[in-house]
Amino acid sequence: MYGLAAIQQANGWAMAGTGACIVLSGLAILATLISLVPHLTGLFEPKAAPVPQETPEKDTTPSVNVPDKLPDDLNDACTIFMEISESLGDEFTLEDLHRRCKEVNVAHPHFSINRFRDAGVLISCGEGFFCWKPKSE
Amino acid sequence: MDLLIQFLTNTGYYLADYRHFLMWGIGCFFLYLAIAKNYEPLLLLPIGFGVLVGNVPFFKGFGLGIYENNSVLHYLYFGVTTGVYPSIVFLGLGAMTDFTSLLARPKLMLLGAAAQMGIFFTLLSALALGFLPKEAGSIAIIGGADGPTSIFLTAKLAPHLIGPIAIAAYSYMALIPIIQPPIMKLLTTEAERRIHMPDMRPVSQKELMIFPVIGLFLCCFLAPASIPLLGTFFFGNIMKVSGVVDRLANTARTAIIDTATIFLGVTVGASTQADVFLTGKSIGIFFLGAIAFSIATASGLIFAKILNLFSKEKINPLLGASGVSAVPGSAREVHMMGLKSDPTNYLLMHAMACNSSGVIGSAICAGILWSFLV
Repeated sequence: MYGLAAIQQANGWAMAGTGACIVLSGLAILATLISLVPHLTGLFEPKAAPVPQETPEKDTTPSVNVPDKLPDDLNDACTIFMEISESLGDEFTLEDLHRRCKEVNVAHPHFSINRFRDAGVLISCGEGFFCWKPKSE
Repeated sequence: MDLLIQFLTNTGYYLADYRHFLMWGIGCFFLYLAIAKNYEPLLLLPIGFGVLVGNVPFFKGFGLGIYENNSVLHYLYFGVTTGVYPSIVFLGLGAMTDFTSLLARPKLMLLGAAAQMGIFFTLLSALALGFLPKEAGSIAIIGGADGPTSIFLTAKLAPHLIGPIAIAAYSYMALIPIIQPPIMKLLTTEAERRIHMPDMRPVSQKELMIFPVIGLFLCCFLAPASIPLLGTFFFGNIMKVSGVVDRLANTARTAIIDTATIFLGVTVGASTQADVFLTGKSIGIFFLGAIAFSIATASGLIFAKILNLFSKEKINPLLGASGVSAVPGSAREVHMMGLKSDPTNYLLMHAMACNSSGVIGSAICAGILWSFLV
């Protein structure tokens, strides 16, 4: 038997429809449950003692205007990162650069840093420190 | 002289016919894909060589072939027919999988569910083409793009089709870089491919440890037939995230999964003996497998676009294509496609979330089909 008659004979429509509904609803419920987990674990966390408020230190690092979306061009993106890293000095660790990028809300800084490393724009200065490759080279 | 003639008539050269050479061609093609193209080498190399081993012509009755009782290959094949190897592979997969990205953005799990629609569409197509219901269910699971799950379900429902179904499933998994990108391009616009996903929230260790328990409770209670796959999968995962049995977790994700993969690959390859494999049904299975895989990819993409209609926070629809459970091939393709449209668009971690939910989704589908068709 072939065609629609074969599907009908094997109860195919019901199997496909029910199966699809079960897997969709099952994973939807699982997604809902796991989205509740952080709230549930929060209930059982011991509440931290109130910390006396300290007056925030004045931010001495210069503010940097970072666009919402980094430019596609490597050199343009690099210029922005150089501006961001100015406050770190000529040589800095990647960890400090990443932290500074996070402070000025750069999206996915680790990926951009990786691009600069791959392109040889961000070079190692030894002992875990890095610096920007001088433009003349 | 008679002894020499008798010996010569028992050699593979004398017993071979065109079908054996055709299968050797297929085996060599798999080896080529694995070695020269680096397509899924961990799977295609053992399967490819298994095809060569299984298609050495021999005198029937000597207890040599994989389908002959008491042969060595038959004993090794026992792990396939009973579903032991797939279960062990899932244990290792669980010990490898990092659910952080999925827990950080649970909504992506829906894309893993949507990509399973290819399975049910293929079920209907296979029935319409005249396959028996159990055979149709086994063929349909190719749409999950999960080799061990396909083998597991086929071993339970239609063991005579293990060879062609496993070969089809693994072939299409290896051909992800060829199959998925055109579908992704066809169903998404350039602007959609450029959608950036927001940074993920940090996920606590407690959440990571609670997830396998909740997952097991929900999925295996919903489809108990998926226990052999998801039970070991979540067990492997809790070994990994608990941090108290690092030695066991490390063994599961290295020695154990490697051993199971070797035996699974080589025996599945050897099960493709020419007289069993070269049939009209195999051609139908390959045809339906391609449809299953394509529809699974398309349904994930389309579902992501539908979600975007109702959601404030837009999802990059490419992520829907990684809802199939071919880990990590489809996630890698999605990431590459995103990078092509926008070199600053990094989708890999988000795609892995969909990918890992696809593994769970396809195992649930296998359980559902098994309980429907057994």
